[in-house]
Amino acid sequence: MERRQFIKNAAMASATVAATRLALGKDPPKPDSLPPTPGVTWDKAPCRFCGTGCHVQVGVKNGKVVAIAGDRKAEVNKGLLCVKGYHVGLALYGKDRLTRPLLRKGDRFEPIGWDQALEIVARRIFDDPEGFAIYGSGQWTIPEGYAALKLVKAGLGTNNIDPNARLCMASAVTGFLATYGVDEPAGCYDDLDECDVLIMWGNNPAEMHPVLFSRVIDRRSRGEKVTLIDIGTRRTRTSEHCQHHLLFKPHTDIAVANGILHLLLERGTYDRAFVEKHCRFRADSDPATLQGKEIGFDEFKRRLAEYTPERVQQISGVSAQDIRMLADLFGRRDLRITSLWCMGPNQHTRGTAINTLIHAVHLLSGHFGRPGDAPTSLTGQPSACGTVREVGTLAHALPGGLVVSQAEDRKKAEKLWNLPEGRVSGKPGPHTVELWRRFSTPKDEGGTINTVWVQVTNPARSLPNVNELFEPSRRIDGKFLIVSDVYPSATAQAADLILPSAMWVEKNGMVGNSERRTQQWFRMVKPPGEARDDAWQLIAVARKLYELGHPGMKDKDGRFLFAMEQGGVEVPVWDYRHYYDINVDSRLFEEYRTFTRFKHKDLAPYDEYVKARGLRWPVVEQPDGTWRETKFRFAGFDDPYVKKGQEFDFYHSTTKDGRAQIWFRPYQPPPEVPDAEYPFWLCTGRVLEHWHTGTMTMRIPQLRRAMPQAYVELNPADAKKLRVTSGDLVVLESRRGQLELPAWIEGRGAPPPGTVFVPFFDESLPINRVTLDAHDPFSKQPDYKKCAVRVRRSARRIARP
Amino acid sequence: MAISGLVITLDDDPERRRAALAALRADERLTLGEPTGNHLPLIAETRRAREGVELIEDLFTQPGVRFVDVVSVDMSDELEDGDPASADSVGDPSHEEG
Repeated sequence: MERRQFIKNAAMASATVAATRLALGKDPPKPDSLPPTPGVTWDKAPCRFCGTGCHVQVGVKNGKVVAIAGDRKAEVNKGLLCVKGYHVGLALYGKDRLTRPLLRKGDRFEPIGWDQALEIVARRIFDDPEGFAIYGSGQWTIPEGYAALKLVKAGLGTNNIDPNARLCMASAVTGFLATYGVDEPAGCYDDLDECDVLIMWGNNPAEMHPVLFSRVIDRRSRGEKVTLIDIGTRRTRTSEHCQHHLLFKPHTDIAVANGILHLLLERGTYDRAFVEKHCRFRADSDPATLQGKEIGFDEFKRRLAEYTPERVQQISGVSAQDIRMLADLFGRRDLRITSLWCMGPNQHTRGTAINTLIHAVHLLSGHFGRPGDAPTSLTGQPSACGTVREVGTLAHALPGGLVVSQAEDRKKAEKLWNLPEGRVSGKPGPHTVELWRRFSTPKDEGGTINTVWVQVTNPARSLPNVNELFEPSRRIDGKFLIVSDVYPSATAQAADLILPSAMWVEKNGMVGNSERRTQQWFRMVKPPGEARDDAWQLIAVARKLYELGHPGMKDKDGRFLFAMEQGGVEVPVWDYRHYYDINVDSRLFEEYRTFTRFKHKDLAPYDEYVKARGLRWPVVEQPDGTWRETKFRFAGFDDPYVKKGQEFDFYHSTTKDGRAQIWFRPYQPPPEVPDAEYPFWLCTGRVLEHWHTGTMTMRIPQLRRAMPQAYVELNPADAKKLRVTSGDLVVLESRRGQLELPAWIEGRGAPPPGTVFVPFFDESLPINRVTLDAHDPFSKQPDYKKCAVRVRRSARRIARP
Repeated sequence: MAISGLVITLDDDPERRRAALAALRADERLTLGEPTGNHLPLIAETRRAREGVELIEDLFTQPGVRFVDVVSVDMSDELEDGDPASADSVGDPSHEEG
């Protein structure tokens, strides 16, 4: 058979199997295997892009990725991918891959060797360790993040490390900690297959997590009844699929949640038995702390009394009838309700508050802990959970949920790392906004951070208020920016030193998705030129510091911090020629794994992940030697850590009695609201075609053509008043900065009057010159979803994008 | 040439469904399989894999198409033709993106 026809037959066979599975909700009688394309070898890997954690099969031929297929063995995506998954293989092959270390010389970059580059980095750190910080991301693999954390916390004895995930899910973390005493969702994606009602709180999964959303849409196609409710500030592609679209005024989701809580109490439709047995009530303390103070049920009810449907309507704009509809649903025991949220509630100056309130609605109504009954936050990056939240690459954290502020936790870390007592600092480092503020402030004015090493992220475009947090650093003498990246992002172009990185299947990797699922893959192709693994870069710099005589690079027995042996002989993994002599990922992971048992986040041995398409923690060894994952935490029917005979057990309860906390959080106005001078709300976010700041997706020509530049969505009534039509240039201005960009009216999203939306993917039109860096007091996560702006038609005109 | 396997979820409404099927049949880049319920397997052949991305976006906007899932993409022919960009190209920050 002709090769081409063979490939077509294989593609049709795969699509037919997938269609049958979607239609019937189960595998067809004879599922076939992967298309046996001639000359192509296949292996598994999670997709590079979002936090869903789809598994793909990667086809490699002659050292290049030539084919991608949805992995049928993957529970997350069951063989399906979204349009981003389609081009994930192409993300490797943009023409301007960085392939050599580059050192700034005035306005130019000059290629240098790796040894010189490592020497420069190590010298900067050695001369001023307190002034050095690493800024990473939820795109770090688990071993990479662990290596970075260990270099800083175990080696340098500071906590100057934070990730961009601070900007996307820190409020989800504080929400989980304040409610359950431990981070990450209790439920999992299986809830999407079981729920009767799916509520999306400020969430647009049709564009941002399409494979998860299609799972629900497919249930409907099979005739199942699923009610979809979108609670948001603008109409999106998700809204089109929903039976109910509830539009609220920015920031007032807190009032909406309080309205539901109030009605559950007033009507007596809350789950009294569940609440009495498993919950306590809390409210903010003075001074405010993450744990707050305990209040009784009566006090909780009294505080909520003002949130009548009519009052909530007045605050939020959501009709009293819709508030009652939501309370009706939560008041029913015969329904299963899942809530999803992502950036909407998280990028919020009251992010911790709204996160705890979504949990409160589920706990008070007892919609918790049965398949389909779950409050589940989603993440936007492939390892925001695995690397940031679990490894703990945050300024206050240690691996496995430990924190630097607790002496006991520091001792545990020092013991596992074989460090002298007192090496791990108890003083948390600066959180993201503070870190960059200090980097952008002269040393003699309190700018204590002088060198920042950025890996796997683009802060020049993703930080809020970049005019204040990023740009000044590039003009201050003595501030040195190191950037490890794959492409010349805006941050790389602003750097003093650029280190070329390997990406995705050019290296071994492990990540953790939104549902506690840890995933593994092997290197399949070589990186271009001299691009090298981020974990290697960290270990090689640590070795340089060791050679320079930095005392922190040795454990208490004098061994190198990243010493790795094979057959009793040390392998020089800091020398890239030997980096793949052993599986460094496996070694780092096995070391990290020892931390995960402290907070019941147990991970299985590395080899178990080689066999699986991910496993959801806690993964616990069974008497027969197999490893069992956990789908539903805190529920007796599934979680091995729930005490025998108990239906639920919140075993990390902050009140140490196995109970979860139901919070009262009052509605408070945001720090900046539209006024006569700046009359519009600005909301920022993503679009389907592009991921984050577009450094990968803008290099896919068709995606770039489909969505070539940023725009501002305007409501038609506002556009008419401003005498603006689609394609006209408008000036968008806040108290912090301004931007000229084309208007799009009646486009994909529909903002209500008085609101505008701008996506942040376009490096050439950086909306974060306009945004606000105000942040949540607990999570320190900034609010990208609302600030006040004014809009005017520009004197210049351009064609419509 | 890139070959993709896709599954389209068709609308419940018979009229919209018929219109969608007619439009899909008329697109010479597509070969339709046998639908199971609302789910239609098909293969798409495009000159470049990158054009396949655009095609999928177009399918999303087709009346009567509720959702598009990607099952596989094979671009081995395309790579043998010498595209996409060589993995050996040397990048630097002054280099325009490809």
